Amino acid sequence: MKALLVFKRNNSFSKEVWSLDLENYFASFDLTSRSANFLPDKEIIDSTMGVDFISRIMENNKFDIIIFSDELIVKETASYFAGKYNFGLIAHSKEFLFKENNIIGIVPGWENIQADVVSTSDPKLIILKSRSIVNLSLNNPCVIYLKEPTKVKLLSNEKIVENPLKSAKIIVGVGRGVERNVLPRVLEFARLIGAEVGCTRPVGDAGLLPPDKVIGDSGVDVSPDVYIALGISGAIQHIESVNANYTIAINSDAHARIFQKSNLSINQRVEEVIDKLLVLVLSRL
Amino acid sequence: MAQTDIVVNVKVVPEKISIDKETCRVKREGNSIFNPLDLVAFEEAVKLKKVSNASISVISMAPLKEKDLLKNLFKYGANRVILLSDKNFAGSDTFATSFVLKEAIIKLVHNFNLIIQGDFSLDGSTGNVGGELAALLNIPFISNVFSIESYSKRIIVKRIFEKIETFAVDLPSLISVRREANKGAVVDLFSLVESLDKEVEVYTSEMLNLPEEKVGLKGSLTEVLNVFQDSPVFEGNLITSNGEKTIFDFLKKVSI
Repeated sequence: MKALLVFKRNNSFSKEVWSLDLENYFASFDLTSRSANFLPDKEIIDSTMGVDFISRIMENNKFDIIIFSDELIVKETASYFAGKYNFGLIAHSKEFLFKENNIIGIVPGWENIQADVVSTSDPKLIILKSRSIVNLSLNNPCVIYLKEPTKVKLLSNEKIVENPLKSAKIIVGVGRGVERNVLPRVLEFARLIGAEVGCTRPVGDAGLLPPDKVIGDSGVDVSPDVYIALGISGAIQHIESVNANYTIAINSDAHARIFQKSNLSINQRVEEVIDKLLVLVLSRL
Repeated sequence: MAQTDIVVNVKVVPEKISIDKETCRVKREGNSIFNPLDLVAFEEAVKLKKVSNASISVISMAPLKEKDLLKNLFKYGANRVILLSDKNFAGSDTFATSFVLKEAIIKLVHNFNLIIQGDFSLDGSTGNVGGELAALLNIPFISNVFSIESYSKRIIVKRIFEKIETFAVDLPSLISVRREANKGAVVDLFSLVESLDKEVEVYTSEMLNLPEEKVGLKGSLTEVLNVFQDSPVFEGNLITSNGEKTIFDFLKKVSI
């Protein structure tokens, strides 16, 4: 089977992509990439340009599957491409299986519910997590000449201050199991131990912490030395964005999924542990 | 912006879901709520309405029982609330959903110039509908937006992707918003009074003249083979008392 892997910079995709017997071709939205067979002649700024790029590649090439990374401009292009050409798009897959000549995307949903999803179109489209860069050293890429977009104009590009969670060495994560009245004590504990504070999406949606504190699919990825997860159930969308050297989990639910991932598992009420921890930490100061 | 309609797509999601172990189907439990990011989208529409001569038409594809919940959107400032409800819509994937929304927008909201919705929904989380719907309507699509300003025949939007990107986008267009755009829609006193005599408009597949093969399961281009709930069994060492001491000793050891 022939696969087109579409990315901007993050082309690591999942190990399944590399272990399958697919004939892989790479298309990068970054015109300076050295890891692509296909490159655009100009920067791709929106999904219509992205679709133009993929469409022109497909004029002379037939693919059985097109795999898109979950980088914003790429997954935006994927959904626009699917809509334009009526292709079935399996979105938001954490991994996929190859079974009886079909691609099955494993899509996580709410409350640790997962679904096996297939596309009924040809080619099949799938968006996969892809979080790092692999140097493929592909030479002599084919340059695809694109039309300038007529309805969208990029006016400016400003640097943003990097989210401190991304470089934090120690993070305290707040989940739905932390009651509102306990949050100030949690924040104080984090401050005393020099930790950044992050949270799960439901906590961000409830407005308990600002949106830039959300760790997960709809927030940031983090790689701290220590992650202290308070009242976090361990939903895939959150926990797969945490790449910690050591995880401490506190949850009153003995069956919380987080305990599968934690190095130190405390099955107690968050409030009880935090209050006693505060006493211990303050006594040490 | 001249007199025009802003369309806001609002999804109704369950507060809680689980799996029926016998049928392997998703069971919706508890109350229904508005998808939080769609309320953020709605508030962006309200901000634009205040500075331009625009009206807000909400479109929602949902079961008929959600009509009363949707009626509340008049209090937030909606001029029209349109409920697309039909048993034939059941099982729609994002493509089939986008098709139904596209047909409804074209047939029911003639002067639409801008469509706003949340980046993704709480339950599905695919984020596919924005791009698919924009492609079906052949209009530009920008996602992850936190700021929208209007200027005559185009809008200026800002979004975060590696940097803060500012775009000028021709109308009509579809914008999906991220959480940071605002704190979400709130009830407006003036709209509250005006809402008293407004009703939700309900449209079925037949009323919209939709071909049966283009909606629901038949119109979907993806298929769910199996749904399951991951319930892992923990076999490690759970500490059930004096956890704070164990944590404190660890923090001392790593010099925190």
